[in-house]
Amino acid sequence: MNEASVNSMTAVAQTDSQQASAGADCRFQSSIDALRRTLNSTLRGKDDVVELVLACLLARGHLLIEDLPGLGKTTLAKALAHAVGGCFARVQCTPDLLPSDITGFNMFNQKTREFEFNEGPVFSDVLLADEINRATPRTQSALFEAMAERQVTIDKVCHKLPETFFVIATQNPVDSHGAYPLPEAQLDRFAMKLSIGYPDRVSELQMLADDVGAGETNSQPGAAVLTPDALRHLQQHVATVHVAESIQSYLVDLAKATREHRDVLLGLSPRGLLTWQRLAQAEAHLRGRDFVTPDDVQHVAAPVLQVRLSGDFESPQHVIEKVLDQISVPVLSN
Amino acid sequence: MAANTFVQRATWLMVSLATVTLQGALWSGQAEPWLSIVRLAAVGVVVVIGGWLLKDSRAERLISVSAASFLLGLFLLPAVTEPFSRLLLGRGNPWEILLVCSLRNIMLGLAALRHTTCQRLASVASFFVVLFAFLLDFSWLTALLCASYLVVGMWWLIGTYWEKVQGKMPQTTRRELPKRASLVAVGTVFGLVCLASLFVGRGAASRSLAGFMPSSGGNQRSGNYAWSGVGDGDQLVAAKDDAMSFGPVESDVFLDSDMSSLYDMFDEAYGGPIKPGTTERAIALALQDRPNRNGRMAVSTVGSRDFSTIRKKTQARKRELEDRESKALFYVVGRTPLHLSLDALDTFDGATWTSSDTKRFISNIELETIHDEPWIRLRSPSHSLFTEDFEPHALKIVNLKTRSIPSPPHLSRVHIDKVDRVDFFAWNDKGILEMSGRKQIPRLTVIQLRSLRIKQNAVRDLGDFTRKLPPVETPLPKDPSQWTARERLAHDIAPYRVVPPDTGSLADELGQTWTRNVPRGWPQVEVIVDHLRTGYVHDPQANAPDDCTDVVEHFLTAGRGPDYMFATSAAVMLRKLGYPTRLATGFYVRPDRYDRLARQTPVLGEDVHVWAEVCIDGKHWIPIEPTPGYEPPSEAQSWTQWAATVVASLFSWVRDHWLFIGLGLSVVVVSLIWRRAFLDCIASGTWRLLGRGSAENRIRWTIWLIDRRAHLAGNPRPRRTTLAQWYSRAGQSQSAPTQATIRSFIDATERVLYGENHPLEAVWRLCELAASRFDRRLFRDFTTGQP
Repeated sequence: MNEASVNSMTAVAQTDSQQASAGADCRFQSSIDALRRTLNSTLRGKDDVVELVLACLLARGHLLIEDLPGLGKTTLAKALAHAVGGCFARVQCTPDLLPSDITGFNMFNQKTREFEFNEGPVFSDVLLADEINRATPRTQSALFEAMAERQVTIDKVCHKLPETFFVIATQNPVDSHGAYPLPEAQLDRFAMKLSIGYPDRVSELQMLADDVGAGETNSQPGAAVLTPDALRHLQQHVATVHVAESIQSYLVDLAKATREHRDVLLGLSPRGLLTWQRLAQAEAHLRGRDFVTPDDVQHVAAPVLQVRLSGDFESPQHVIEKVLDQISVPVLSN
Repeated sequence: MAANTFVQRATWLMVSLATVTLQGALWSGQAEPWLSIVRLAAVGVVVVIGGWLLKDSRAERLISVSAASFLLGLFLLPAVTEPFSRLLLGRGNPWEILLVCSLRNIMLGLAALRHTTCQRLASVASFFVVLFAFLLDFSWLTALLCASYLVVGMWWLIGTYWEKVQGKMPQTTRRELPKRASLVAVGTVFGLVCLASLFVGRGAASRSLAGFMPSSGGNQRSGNYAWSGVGDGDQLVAAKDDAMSFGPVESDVFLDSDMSSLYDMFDEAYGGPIKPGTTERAIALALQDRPNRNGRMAVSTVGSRDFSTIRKKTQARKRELEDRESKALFYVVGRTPLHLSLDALDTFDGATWTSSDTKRFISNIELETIHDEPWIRLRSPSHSLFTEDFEPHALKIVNLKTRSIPSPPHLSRVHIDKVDRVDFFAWNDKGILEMSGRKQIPRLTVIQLRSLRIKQNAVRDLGDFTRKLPPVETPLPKDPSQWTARERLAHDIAPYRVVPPDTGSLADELGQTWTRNVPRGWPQVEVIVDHLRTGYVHDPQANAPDDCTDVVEHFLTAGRGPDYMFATSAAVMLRKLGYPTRLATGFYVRPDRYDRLARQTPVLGEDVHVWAEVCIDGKHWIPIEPTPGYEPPSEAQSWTQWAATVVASLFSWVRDHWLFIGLGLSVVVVSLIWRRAFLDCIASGTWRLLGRGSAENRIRWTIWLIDRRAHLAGNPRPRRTTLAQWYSRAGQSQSAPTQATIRSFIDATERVLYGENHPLEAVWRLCELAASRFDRRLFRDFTTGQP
């Protein structure tokens, strides 16, 4: 088969393939691209982290970042909140932080002689909870209720949170003084755990260059690329990405493998499995497809499992690799 | 879930052991197992190809349609081929054997499928296969294989379930009587005992289990291909057909009228002797020299015993249907081939062998008791020529009309149940043991024999043993009672050294030529025998002319003849060289008649045979076999001799089948070298054949084809590597258009496998491109690495 015929056949095949592959809805693609550009400009040299953060956002999950101080966690959260046109709130968790400091409280208004509800930081679109492991378990549970239910109940009154409520929690892996480690049940409420890590040399140099003569003007938030409503529609659209039966079997086999691994005491829960599927859908959508492939599942495996697996191992990465090695990728089964 | 490597390997080991054990049990004693070998090889080929073609389907699902079809085909294979075997080859197996062969095939098929459950099912099936083999054959080899299987099985169990056992090991233990378990165990055993006593009763279990193996000869029916039965057959004649059974059984089949004498059998096999009518010169006697005619002339009732080498031609008998099974004269249990002598002849006149009336002492006959059983001892292995151990045989006399006991060479001990009297036995003049005072050995007599085994190397090392014999012209005193031992020896062996006076010179010339530069002694005997075996053709129909007076001259000139001519020529040539030789007649127990079911060899009328024997010291006669097609008598061999014999046999077999072996080896070598190309062709052909229909089907088969090629290139796709990762990596070294093609193919495959909207018709061309680009060389040229 000569090169010319190969080229012509390839062109025809590509056209057909592209026409058939109408995965991403075009009306959202530009928004996603803009969102991606905004976050990449904020967090330089961390494209993969940005992708995972976007996937977490689209999957309606919450994010846990475990990293050292000064790596851009707050910057990322702010940029994300502003990009989706939402309200940003930040809570610095300390041991004396009360639940009402997070959820809000009723205060008696002398003038109106009524109790008025003062919303807490949870009533925002993006909440950054810094050093969450320093808050007391009681305070932590107040936040987790909000994360799980997207509502808070105060004095028997249920206050709904925005549908696009998104929590980015951080914790410092080094400083353990006065810390209240999150229990497994609480960790399971996070969609994924990430570590940003230090930027590479080129990105650091670029960062320094950009900061010269920047002043305060550059600290102003950028324009929103999405509205909360659009984000909600986008999230609903992502939830419709097709997941084949073989992929679901693959997910279930992987979950079972985590539970049966001899070093793992607590494997993946059904809630974690659902989260994994949603994240895989989000990943597929970000790659421009309307169906999930095993690559998507594998790509989000580490962030999903890192936050959930516990047992007798130093690093969950080794366990995750073994689990992925153990299960065959579905190819010709259906 | 695919089985891990350990389970797969352990399963294959168990399956292999089970197959070997079963085949060993099925082939036990079989003279021609080639059909079974061909069948097993065919099954093996089917299993390997099927397992390779189904490689992917086995990893994800338990049983796919194709895998189920594969197993079903294997199961039905023995039943499908059985009618052809019976019809065309006349060989078959009972249905129970076919079923176990089907089970064996299923076992192999399941082992070829890598799913964990299939592996475990294969292991379970292997257990039943081994169990059946053990019940079929109780030999030491089968027992050894079963023991090996058990060891491997335990290892498999521990390895497979270790993690579960480990996880469930108790942290603490508490001493407590397991009441429930004890109750269940006791109850089960009690129930089984009651059940057994109900069915078995006081009779033997075998009789009670009526029809246990219905098509193998139960008590209801019989079958041509049955192996054995339970209960009675058509006739209560088990004693007749089984050499190891003993006891008179009344039945009208036991008639004397159909028993042949030995001479009847010789006439039937070789043709009746031609007694040339001769007119002899006579001299008239004077009246006073005439015998007293009034006296009664003594009539010799003992007929002269001779063997003529001038015989009529026999016609090849048309075998009628009722002649399909000849009646056995007797049965032999023990090693074959075997020369059993019934008569020995010493005097040859050029055409006819006769026996002289020389009375000889052979040895004392004594009684001894071995394990509370009476044995007749004839000779002891005191001579350095013999090994210390005995070779056992058993004979069951059925239709043989003689009182001579068919004797293997160097018969040492004889046992007949309950016969503890020495005077029942005697040596006849020919040195053959017989039952004295009887006309014939009673029918259905079982005779146990123990014979010595000669060390052929020791015989060869004797050198010229004729030097120790007294000279031919040894003068003898007239009174035999005054003979010395040496004079007696000279007398005894004199007839065996007499060379026929009118024999031609060809025997002499050839004897001298063949033995030139060969040291005297047994090497010369072997040379004569070898030349006759290799240079002459055994032709039972090539009789000597009626008027022939020198059979040896005729035979050596013609170059072909029946076995008695070979034996006669060997005897004459050896006598001319000075070796005492005699002609032995009897039976040749043929190995190819071995009945593996009954583990015995029937001896028929047509098994009569003639050979020669050489005396080395006046007492010991060593048989020689100059006729090609008959195996020489066995000798006790050292390990090196045995190995040399094996190598020589192998070399001879290779030489005789060089063309077949050469072709076969060429095919094997070419197949091995080009195996990947052949398998690639098979895979491509399968892709073209089965990858039709929908675009979806096309893509699936294209993926399968590419995976097969990666496997053939020694670079199979790792389990966790997705198609996108694999194909992208494979195409990294390709040109940009090819990479674009690969990208499009990846998109199309992902859409087919995981998407809802399936690709358009363009995928056909895409698959063609992918199939042409993803060849074995592509996968061979890149390393796996991490995804």
